[in-house]
Amino acid sequence: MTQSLSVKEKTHRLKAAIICIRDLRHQYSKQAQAAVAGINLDIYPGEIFGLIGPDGAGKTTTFQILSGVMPQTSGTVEVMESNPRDMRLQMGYLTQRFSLYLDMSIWENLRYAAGLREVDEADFKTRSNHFLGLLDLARFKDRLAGRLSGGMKQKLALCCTLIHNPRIVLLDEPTTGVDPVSRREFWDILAQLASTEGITTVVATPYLDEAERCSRIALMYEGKIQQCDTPAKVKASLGLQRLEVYLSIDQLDRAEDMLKHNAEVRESVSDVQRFGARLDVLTAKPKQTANDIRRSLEQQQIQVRNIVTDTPTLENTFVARLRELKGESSVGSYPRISRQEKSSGTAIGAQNLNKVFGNFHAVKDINLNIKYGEVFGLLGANGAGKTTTIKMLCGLLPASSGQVMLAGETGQLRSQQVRQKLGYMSQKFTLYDDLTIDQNLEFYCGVYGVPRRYRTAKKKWVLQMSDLVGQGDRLTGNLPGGWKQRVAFGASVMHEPKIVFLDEPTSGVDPLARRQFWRWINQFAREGMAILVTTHYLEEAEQCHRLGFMVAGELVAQGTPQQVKDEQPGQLVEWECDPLQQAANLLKQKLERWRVSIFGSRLHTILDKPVDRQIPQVENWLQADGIRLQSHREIGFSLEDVFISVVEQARQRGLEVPVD
Amino acid sequence: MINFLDTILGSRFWALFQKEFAQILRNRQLLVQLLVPPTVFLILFGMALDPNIKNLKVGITDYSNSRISRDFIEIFYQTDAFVVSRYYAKQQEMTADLAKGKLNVGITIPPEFSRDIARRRTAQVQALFDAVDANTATTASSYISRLVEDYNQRQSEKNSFSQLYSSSSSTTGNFSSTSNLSNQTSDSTTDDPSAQTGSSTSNSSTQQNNSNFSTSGSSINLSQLSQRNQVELATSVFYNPGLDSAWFIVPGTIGILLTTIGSQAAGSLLVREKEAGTIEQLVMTPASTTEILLAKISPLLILLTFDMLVALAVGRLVFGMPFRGNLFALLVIAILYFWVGISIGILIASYAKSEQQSQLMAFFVNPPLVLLSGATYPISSMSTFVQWLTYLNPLRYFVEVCRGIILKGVGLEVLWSQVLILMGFATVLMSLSIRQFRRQLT
Repeated sequence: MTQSLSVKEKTHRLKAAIICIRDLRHQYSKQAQAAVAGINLDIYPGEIFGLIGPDGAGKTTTFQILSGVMPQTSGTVEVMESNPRDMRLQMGYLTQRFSLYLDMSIWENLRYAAGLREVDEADFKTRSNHFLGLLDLARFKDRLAGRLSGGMKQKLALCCTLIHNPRIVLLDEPTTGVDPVSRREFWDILAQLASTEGITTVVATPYLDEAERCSRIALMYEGKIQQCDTPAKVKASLGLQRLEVYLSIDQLDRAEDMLKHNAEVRESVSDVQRFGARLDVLTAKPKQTANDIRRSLEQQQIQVRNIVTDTPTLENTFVARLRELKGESSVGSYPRISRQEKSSGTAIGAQNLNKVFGNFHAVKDINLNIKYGEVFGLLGANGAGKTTTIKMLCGLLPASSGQVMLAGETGQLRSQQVRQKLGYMSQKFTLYDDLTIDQNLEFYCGVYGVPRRYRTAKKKWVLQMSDLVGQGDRLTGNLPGGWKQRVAFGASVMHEPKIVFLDEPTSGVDPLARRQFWRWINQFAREGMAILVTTHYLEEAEQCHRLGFMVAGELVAQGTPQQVKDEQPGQLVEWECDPLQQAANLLKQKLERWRVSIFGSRLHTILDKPVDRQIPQVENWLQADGIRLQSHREIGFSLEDVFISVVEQARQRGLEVPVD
Repeated sequence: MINFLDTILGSRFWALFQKEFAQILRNRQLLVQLLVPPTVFLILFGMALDPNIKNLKVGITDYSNSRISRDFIEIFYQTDAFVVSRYYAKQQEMTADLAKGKLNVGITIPPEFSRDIARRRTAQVQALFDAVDANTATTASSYISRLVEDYNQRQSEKNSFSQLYSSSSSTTGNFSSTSNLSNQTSDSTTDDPSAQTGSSTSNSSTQQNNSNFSTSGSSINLSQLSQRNQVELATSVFYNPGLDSAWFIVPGTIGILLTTIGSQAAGSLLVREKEAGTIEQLVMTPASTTEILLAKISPLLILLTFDMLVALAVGRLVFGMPFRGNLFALLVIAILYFWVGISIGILIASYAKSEQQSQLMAFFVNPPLVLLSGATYPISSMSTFVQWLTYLNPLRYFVEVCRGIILKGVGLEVLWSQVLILMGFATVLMSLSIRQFRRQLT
C-alpha cells in the first residue's frame, strides 16, 4: 500500500486529486459488518479508475457516497475539494439498474436528464447532437428506450449522465448484461471521453478484461482496498507466470482438482484456475512446472494437448488474490433425493421455430436438438432473440409457427408433469425481493414439491454454494446483484430438474463465483441434465458441449465450440502494443471494423491467410503512428473472437437493430 | 396425524400460501391499507353520514297553555335530539329568533289544542324549521313526526280516539320550513312508500304565517299516513329504536369497505407480481393458475374477515350497534361475498399492466357499485330505472344481508334469495376472472 502510494505520487505529482477519500467508512444499520471499512483513495483528473472486487465488496456503497446520494458513517470524501453533495452538477452517476424511462424516446430521455440539471437550450442542442453522434444513437432518436437492445440502453444511459457536461462520471457496472461487442464499443467511448474531453471516470465492473483498460484499478474486498495500482503493476505484483494448459473439456474438473491437491506439483503451483476450455496454472517456475504437470496428469490418464507460457491476466491475478484473501470455501455436495436416471434422446427440440411480434420477426426458423446430458450455449448480441427463443422453448410464449419438443412432449408443454421436470432461471426476476433468502428457498422447495424432510439439506446446499451460510434471513432485495444470481441459480435447480434453462445466470457475478457456477453446470450435465444456457462471458461458453450463435433472430452457426471456431475464415493475430487504444482506433480505420478488437491488454486482429504479407503492413501502420510494438503472435480463435467477428459483420449488414 | 400434517405443510398450495402471506406481511403499506382506513372510514362514515343531530334548540309558543299542552311538550324532553331553549308568548318573537338562528325549531301550539284533544278531534300543531341547513331540518322534522306519533300512540292507548297531528308550514326569509315525515323509516329492508309520499317540502318567500290553509287537506292526508305509519313505524322502531342512523350506515359501510378493499388489494397483489416480472418464474413452476390465484386470494380472505370483525367491533363500540343475528352465518356469507370483490380485482388485474393502472381502473369500477347499492342512500329514493340497475349490483344483496343479520337478527330463512344471488355472482365472476387471468398469462 505505501509502495503504491509513492508510485502514484510520482506519476501524478503535477496534478491535484479530483476525488480524495480519507478513511471512509459506512455501516448499514441492519448488518453486522461494515460495507465500507476505511478506504483511502486519490483519483486524478482524466483517469479511468476501476473498482473491482467480488460481489458485496462495497463497490456500490462507495459509489453512492461518492455521488452524494448517501451520507457516509464516517471519514471524508472530497470531490473537487468540496462535499460531493454540492458537486452533483459536476458529476454524472450511472446506477446499476437502468436509469431510463422506458416509455420515453431516446430524445425525450435525454431532454429530461438535461432539464433536471437545467442545461440551457443551446448547450443541450450541441451536446445532444455531439453525444448521440459519438455513441451512434442519432439514427434512433425517436425510438422508445424500452425498445432498445441492452447495449444501446446503456449507451443512452451514459449519454444522459454526460448531458450536463460533468467533470466526473461514476459508472456502477455499466456493462453488466451487455454483449461483448457492445461492451467493447462502450469502453472505446469511455477511452475517447477521457482522452478528448478530459473526463474522469470511476467505474466498477465484473469483467476483468475491461478492467485492464483502466488507467488504475483498486481491488476491493470486504469494504477495504487490498491493492491499488495500474493493471500492469497489479499483475506484476503476483510475480508469477501463467501456463495455459489445454485439455479435453470433460477432464477439466478432474485435472483441476488433481493439480490443486497433488503433492507433487503443489509446491510449484501457486494457483489453478479454469478459464474457458483450458486451465490457467500460475507458477513462479514455468518450465519446470509445465513438465511436472504434464507428467503427473498423464499418470492419471489425462491427455494434455498443449501447454503455453504467458504472463498472467488481470483475471488470473484477481482470482488468485481473492483465493488468498478468502480461502477456498467448501461448497458441499448437491443433495439428491432420487438417483438421476440417465434419459436418452432429445430433451429440448425445435423445428422451424418462428416468432413474429406485429411486423417484427423476432425469431426466424430455429432448429435445435439438445440431448440429455448436454450443455448447450445460446449466444448472441443483445436483442438477437435469445430470450424470446428460450421462452418459446420452455413453453412460456407460444410460437408463431413451428414445433417445440420438451421432455418428450410436443403439444402440452405447459402440463404440470413437464414443468416439474424443468428448472428455469429468468434473466432478472427469479427471486422475490420482498422475501428473505430462506423464505424464497422454502417457497421454491414447496412449489416444486420437494418433500419436507429433504428441504433443510437442499436449502443448506444453496446457502453454501452462494457463500451465504448464516445469512438466510437477509432480505433478498438487499443482496448485491451477484449474490442474488447465485441464490437464484440454486433455487432453480433444487428440485432436481431434468432440463434447465438458464438465461444469463452469471451476469454480474464475480469471476470466482462464476467458476463455481460452471463446475455445478458441468456436474449436473454429467449426471444427465440437459442445460440450455445463455451468457455474455464467452470464455464460459467454451465449456458448452455445443452452442448456437444467434444474430437478428437467426441461428447462424451451430456446433461444438471447436467446429464453430474452425468455420472461421482468416487467422487471428494477437498484438502487444502501447498505447493500446490508439492502436485499436488506427487499425479499425485501416482494416475493417470487425477484424479488430481489444482483448484485455492485447489487440486481436483477424487477418486473411497467409498472414506473412499482412503482418509487416500492420507493423508499419502502427510504427508510423508512433505506437510501440512489443510482440505479436498467431493464436487460435477463442469464442469471443468468433462472436465479435460474427456480430460485427452482421451489424455491418444492418442486421443488428431490429426494424419496427 | 403427523403424516397428514406433513402432506399439508409439504404441499404446493401451502408453499404458495406461505409465500403470499409473507409478502403481505412484509408489505407494510398494504397491511396498513387493509386495516387502518376501514376503521377510520367506518367511524367517519358513521359520523359524517349520521344525520342524527343532538341538542337542537326548540322554541315553544304555547297559546293553549294547559295541562294537555304541557303534557305534549314533554315529548321534547324525552330525547337528546332536542333542547327546549325558551318559551315564547308570541309566535312573532319566536320566528324572529328562528330567523336569527337562535333556534332550530319553533313549535306553535294553538289555543284550541287542549280542546281538540279533549274532544278527540284532530289537533294541529305548527312546527317551523330553520331549513338553511336542509339536512338538519329534514332530520328534525322527521324526529318531531316520530315523537308526535309516539305521543299519538300513547294517547290512543289512553283513549282510542284522541289523536294529534302535526302539521308544518313554511316561514319567511332565509329559513323555510320543511315538513318531512318518517324519512328514517326506510332502514327496514322493506320499501317504505311513506318515505316519499309523506314528505312535502315547501319554500315560500312570501310573508305568511300560520298557513293552515293547506292543513285541512293535508291533515286528512297526514292522518291517514300517520295511521299507516304507526303500523310501519312500529316495525321500524323495533329494529332501530333509537332511530340511530349510524346503524343504517354501518352495515352498509361494511359492505362498501369489503368491496373496495377486496377488489383493490386483489388487483394490486396480482399486478405487482406481473410488474416485478416474477410471474414468469411462477408460471414455470408446476403450480396451476388456479392454485396460484387461490394462494393469492386466501391471505386476503383472512385479512378481509379480520376487517369485517373490526368493523363490527367499531359498530358496536363506537355506535352502540347491536348484533342480533348469527355471527357465524354473517361471516360465511361475507366470505362468499369476498369472492365477488376479489374476482372484480382479478378481472381488473388481468387487464392492467401496472399497479397504477389497476388502481385507476378500480377507482372507476367501485363508485358506481357503492352508489347503487343502497349502502349509504336508500334505494327506495332512487329513480325507478336506477332502482332496476341496483338489482345487477352484488353489493346491494350483501348490504341487505348485513342489515338483515346485524339489525334484524334474521337468518337464512329470510335471506336465502340474497345468498343464492351472491353465490351466482361469485361463481360467474370467479370463473370469468380466472379464465381471463389465465388467458393473459400465455
